[in-house]
Amino acid sequence: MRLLPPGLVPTALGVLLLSHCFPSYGQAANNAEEASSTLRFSGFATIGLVSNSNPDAGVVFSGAQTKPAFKGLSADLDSVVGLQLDYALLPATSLTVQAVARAGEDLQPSLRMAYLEQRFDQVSARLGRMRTPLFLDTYAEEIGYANPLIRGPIPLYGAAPSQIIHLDGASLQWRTPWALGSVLVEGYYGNGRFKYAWFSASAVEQASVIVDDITGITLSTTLGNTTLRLARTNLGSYRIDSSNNTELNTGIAALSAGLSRAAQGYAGVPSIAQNLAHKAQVLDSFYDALHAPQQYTGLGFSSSFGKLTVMGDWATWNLNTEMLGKLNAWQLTLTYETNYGTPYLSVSQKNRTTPRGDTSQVTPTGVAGLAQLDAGITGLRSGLDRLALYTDASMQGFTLGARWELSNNMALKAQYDVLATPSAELTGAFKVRSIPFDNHVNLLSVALDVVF
Amino acid sequence: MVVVGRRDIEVDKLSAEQVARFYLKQSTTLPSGSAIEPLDLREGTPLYVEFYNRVMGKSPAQVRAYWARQTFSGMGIPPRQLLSPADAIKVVLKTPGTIAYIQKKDLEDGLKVLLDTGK
Repeated sequence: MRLLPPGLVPTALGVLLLSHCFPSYGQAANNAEEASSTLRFSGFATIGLVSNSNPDAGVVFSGAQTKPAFKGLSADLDSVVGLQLDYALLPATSLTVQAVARAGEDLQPSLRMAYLEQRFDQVSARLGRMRTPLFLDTYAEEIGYANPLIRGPIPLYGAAPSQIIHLDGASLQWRTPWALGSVLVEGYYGNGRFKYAWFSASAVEQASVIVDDITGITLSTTLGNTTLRLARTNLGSYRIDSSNNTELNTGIAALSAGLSRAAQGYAGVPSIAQNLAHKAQVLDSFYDALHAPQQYTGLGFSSSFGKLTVMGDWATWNLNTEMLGKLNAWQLTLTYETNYGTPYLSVSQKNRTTPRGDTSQVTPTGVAGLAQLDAGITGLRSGLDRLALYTDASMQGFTLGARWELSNNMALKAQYDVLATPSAELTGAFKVRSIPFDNHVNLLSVALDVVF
Repeated sequence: MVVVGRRDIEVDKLSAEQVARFYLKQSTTLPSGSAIEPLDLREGTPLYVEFYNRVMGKSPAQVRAYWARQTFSGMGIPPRQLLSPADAIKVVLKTPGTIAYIQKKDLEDGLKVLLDTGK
């Protein structure tokens, strides 16, 4: 019998060792005059435990997570360790490397940042792998200590395409004073390769997401105690390389070819031939049903009024395929500092704004002698209908929690989440093994966040 | 407490908001275009806490959370930290464009007061 959730012990030991070795955040170097130097070693970690009430709906931090938190205790949702090295090669030239290991991804280290930066007066250029604010706050989402909540609201952050948290390419930042504040404009270009855990009734498949020609621009401005963020990102090409997808495409291609051959065979009966050719075209329209350029637009803010802080995001995704459609999402979070801790609450929602993939025209031919083809079409229709339900990311969430500062580099949080999708057939950001499923989740979480 | 620079720094006064922007690295140059490098003290020292509370309106925890977000998302690293106000004064006197916060009683020749917090 397992007493502790898997992943908890190695993560906890690593975090305690590192926070003991480096008790003061960012101060690895020491000499007579300076507490920091050209070589800077730092890190962050979260030891998190969650209890999920639901045996059907697995909760994940991102699409890459292979071990969702199902019913019972789990350390896989929030536990993470990140190590970073900043090295100033020259006064205006630096190298940054960051590796992250998440318990939910078997603690396999992953390089989040590895870039060279050159700074000019108000401009800096970066080349390599970098986190960028591609989607909402995803570039800082896994740094628990930096965020008021244990994790970003799952309806916005828990599902594809939010797993794109870094890119390999180049970026240019321009920072300038403006009015009573400052403005930061960042443009970037690059490619990304990511893992995506594809769940089915019997297995978890590690699919690869291949994103090319990522271009984007973000603008953030600070005016007094208010920060505004605006982001626009275009994914020139988005592909999921998985056996499920290959199987679907192979099936569509084979059935379409069969219909085309049958249409030629019925050339003497134009009405049947035309009908078969039309059905072949309908099937072809579902080929590569998840692959298309994607666009994202997001607007976020954070504003402090004394001890009260209000944060919000609004975002829209255009995924440009009938299966994935368009999505709108928003979240609003309030935190209030007291002498006894910082309580917070958050509400969030993500809605599909276009109809789900329409498979109504994927119908058998009804032609005598094509029974085998019709059986294949019926099976394909069933698969496409399921895909349409699995790809509807609509979801809503409510979060109530509190944060306590334990020491100068450590915070404790406790949080209660209620998460739900609009119906028992829609999976939202949950990982499920079959549908319909119990689509309401109550999640209790505690997390210890450390920076060192 | 005062915020100081070297006597030849290309500015006579800074507002608390300007100082805050330099220390959060939201601004790195003066209106004249000259670069500014803020110097910090070790976290948790009484002067550090007083500076961030009074000038920046932030608690040490808020400052740490801000720099954790900046550092680990690749958006910037905190200001250089010195072990003591005396070390900060040495660096300011030696390095053009640097600014530091010290107690008024520690003022030396060669320093220019850019912001006086009044206490």
